[in-house]
Amino acid sequence: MVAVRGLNMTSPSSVGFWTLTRRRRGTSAVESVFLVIMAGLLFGPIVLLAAFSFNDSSIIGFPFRGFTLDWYREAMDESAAWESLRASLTIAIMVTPVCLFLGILSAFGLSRFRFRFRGAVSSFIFLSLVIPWLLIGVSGLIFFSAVEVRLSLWTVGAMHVVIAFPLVTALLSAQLVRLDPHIHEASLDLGATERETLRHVIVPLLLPTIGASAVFVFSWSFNNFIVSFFTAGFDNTFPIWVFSSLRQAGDLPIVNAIATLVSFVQIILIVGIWQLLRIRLERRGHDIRDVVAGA
Amino acid sequence: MNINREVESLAEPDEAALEIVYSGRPRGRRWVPHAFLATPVGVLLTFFAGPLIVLAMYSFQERGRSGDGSFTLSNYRAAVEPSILEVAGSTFLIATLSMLVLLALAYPLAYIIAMKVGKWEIPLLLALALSDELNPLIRIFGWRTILARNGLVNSTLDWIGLIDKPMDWLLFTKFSVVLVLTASWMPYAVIPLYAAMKTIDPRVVEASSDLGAGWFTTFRTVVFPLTATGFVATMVIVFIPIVSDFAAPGLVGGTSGRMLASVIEDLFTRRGEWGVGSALTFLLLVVSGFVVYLSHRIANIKNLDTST
Amino acid sequence: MPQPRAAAQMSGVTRNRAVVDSGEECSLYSFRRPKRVIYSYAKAITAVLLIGNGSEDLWGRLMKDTKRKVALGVSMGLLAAACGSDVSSAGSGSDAGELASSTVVFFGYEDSFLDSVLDPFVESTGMDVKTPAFADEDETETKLRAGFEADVVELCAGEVGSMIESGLLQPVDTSRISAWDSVFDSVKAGEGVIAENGDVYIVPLQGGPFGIVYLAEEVTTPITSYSQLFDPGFDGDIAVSEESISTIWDVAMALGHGPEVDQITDAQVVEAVDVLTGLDTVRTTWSEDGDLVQLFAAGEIIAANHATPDIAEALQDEGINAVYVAPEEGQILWKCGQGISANATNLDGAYALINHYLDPEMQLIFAEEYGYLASNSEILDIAPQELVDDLGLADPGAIDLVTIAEGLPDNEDFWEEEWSRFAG
Repeated sequence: MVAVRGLNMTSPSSVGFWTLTRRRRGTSAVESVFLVIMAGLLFGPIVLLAAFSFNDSSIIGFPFRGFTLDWYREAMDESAAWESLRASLTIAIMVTPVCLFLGILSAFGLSRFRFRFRGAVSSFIFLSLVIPWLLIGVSGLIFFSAVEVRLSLWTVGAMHVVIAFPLVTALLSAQLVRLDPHIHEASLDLGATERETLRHVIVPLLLPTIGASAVFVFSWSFNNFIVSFFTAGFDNTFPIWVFSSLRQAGDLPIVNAIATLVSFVQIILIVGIWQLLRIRLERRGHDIRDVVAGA
Repeated sequence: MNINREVESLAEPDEAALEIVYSGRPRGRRWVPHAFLATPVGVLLTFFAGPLIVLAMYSFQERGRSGDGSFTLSNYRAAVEPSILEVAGSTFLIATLSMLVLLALAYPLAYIIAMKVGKWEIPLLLALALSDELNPLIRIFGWRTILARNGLVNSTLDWIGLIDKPMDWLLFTKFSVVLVLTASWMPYAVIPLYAAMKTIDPRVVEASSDLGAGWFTTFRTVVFPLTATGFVATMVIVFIPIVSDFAAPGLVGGTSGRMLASVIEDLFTRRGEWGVGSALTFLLLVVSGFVVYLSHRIANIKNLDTST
Repeated sequence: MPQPRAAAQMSGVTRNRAVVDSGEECSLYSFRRPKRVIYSYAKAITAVLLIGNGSEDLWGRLMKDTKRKVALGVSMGLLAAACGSDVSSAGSGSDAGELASSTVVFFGYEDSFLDSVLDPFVESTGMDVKTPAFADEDETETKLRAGFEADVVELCAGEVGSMIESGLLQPVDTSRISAWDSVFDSVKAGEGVIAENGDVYIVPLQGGPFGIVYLAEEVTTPITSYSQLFDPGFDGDIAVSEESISTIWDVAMALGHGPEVDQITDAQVVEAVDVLTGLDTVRTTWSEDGDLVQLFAAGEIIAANHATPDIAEALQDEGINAVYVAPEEGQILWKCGQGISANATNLDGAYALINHYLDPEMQLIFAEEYGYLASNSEILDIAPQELVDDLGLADPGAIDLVTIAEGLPDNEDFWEEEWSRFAG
């Protein structure tokens, strides 16, 4: 393994060069402004909604009428919401690793090898990204009733896997295609087996994308309404509850409070895991950046 | 341009090497891609192809509310009615526009994250992925509070004194549809572009500027060619879901933002025309497939151009 | 039928792997080893959210787990199949009979699932009520058409026609509805409840009017009719309901057609859609109540059609001076209730649940909670006089002389096609 690790040091994105680049460059004023604008675009709506979940008004909008925790209090009493939240969480937690597994496998299969029918297989995998989710849901339901499979959270989970793992495939392939093949080649030449190369060389280079894919898959599964609606049995998922609650004029702020709470917990979780990792690595004398940058 | 040639040869992955690694070792490797692909394809065959076949059958069957299931091509004829073609036209217009705006913003963002921000790199990447976490329906209400007549933008501008009467066109126009689509698919565009840029050897960029190339030349001759494949992949990754998105257009588009996916939804739910809905889906599939194919062709041609 | 048998064989395999206890009802929560799932998931997250030099050993361990994960993925699929076969193959068996008679599946709107209504039912009958929710009538119909199994379905008079046509409902045996004779005759009348051949498909439970809601301070003269609302010269923006039939109907009434939906001719539908398409005042369409309230509050619109009094009330609670008016042309009365799905497996339970919802005590809960009209005249014996006066509970069919029962046109498809000219 020493050989392989040594190889990593000479790979293009090794520590020394990155630090060098960073010292010489850095964000200019224009770039900083751009970053701020993009942050506004991506987080503006979320931050506003979080603020309005404390607004003493059943209307999500200006003016701000004063601070209240009433919506959160009412949210606590919505047993149906929490039940549905539990269902959605369970599904997302099961679906995410399955999707990553299938996505990694298929991305490798598609982008690291040339074989007959590669085009056909790749189109087939990406097909589910093309078909509107509504149709995947409806046809899934017809299918399950045709093969006499009883609808449950399992059927929802199976359909979530189908809609979400091609996304992982797409994101990972985009990176794999550009990955310098010399790395792979050199690793093999230095005596590493295919499997070792994968484990010690390729996968670490892919980790940021895999991490992002995990977040996306979780989010797709957790937030999907239309496929879940058609393939769910008795149990409601969280988005189904959200949609059915909008029928009542006064329920929107409660829905908003719960949704805000959920996002908040997700952010805490992910940032928490991140911090723990960083601390662990720093204790061992590594900088997480360099780890991510592919060393 | 000798400099460029130099820089490129340093940067461009060697196609020959690719062949050696991926197809040059025949011993016992024929089955490897199949081993990788068997499980994912199996899952899709079970839970995706099955339903899809059902859908295909419906598209060739007489099955309105009172259809008898006999073979017909009328669904396909109904799917290319002028009214639907009109929506199709505006769908592709909006989707193309959104995709261009999206790429124009995502590309520099990915570049900054990959090359410029240093220790903020991973936190920014995480933040990007996290921005996708909030329930999409609720997020639309967030956009409304920003874009509405008495929303954040209008009241701020009014307070500064730049406008004396709220701007109407911020919401329920094609503008709002493009804006919301751009913002919601941003992470999906930035991540693959970031991945593509991450594989550029920083020495190459440096060499280019050391050798006297300006930033534009560097970008045009080094960075962009190196990320071209990733760029096209990103186009496909975002264009397809944008075409079939209907939540955002419905809620912020008013009557001007109707897209194909909402027509399909209407055909299935409101009008009970499963046959026509399926036929339209299959047509959409063919067109999307063509877009994917075309982009691959373009990417390949680009690659050839830069490596010669 | 080869599939169920194959699935049953697979289910045996799955059981041997101790993933599912064969005796237990099949659900996601019956997963026997939550700790292991959580453990491997935590590992996956950690690995995935990167791990640097540590990645060697961790990834190594993860790879060793690959086999286990394949097994997990495969068993997930098998389990899904197994769950299905357990239930479906037992359709004639004794187990399923027991399950079916102890559970009622009520597919309805989320606001019908009040604990104060469902809990007494569970207590008195010992049956469990499963409550899958929907938000949209059209999606409901689609889901039922695709084969979803329910016992009781919540239905509104306006949607029932196409569902009967598609064979999704079975007629209700009114002799098994104990309070059927106390249901107001005016509620039984009108399209939807009793079909032309005399079959009953909906047991009506609640009702209410649709009219115009507008902001009193934003208009110079009060709005009293649809013709004012749909006047091209109307001063201010409006939102029209996304329910195509209702909006076309309202516009047609504004043009002096109708008022009954069956009286509107195809040419008049075309005329109405032309008017609608030519209106510059239409800012957007609205779909859910929650959505409409936000549109008013955000200053986007000053009036909307096909709205209920609750919307005006919700806005008034926020200090916004919104008014509900019954349009001169007529206000449409909505009527919703429960029907029995064609594929219902627990008929006794279905009738028990419908009888429970028709009970005056339960009707009173809905009247108090949401301000809905009640269909059972026995409510007058127990409701406080104030509520009776406020809501007009005395005879919902006659709350206003010009009230029209909600219904569907015969050529619904033509209306929908015309609508796509406006919304396209």
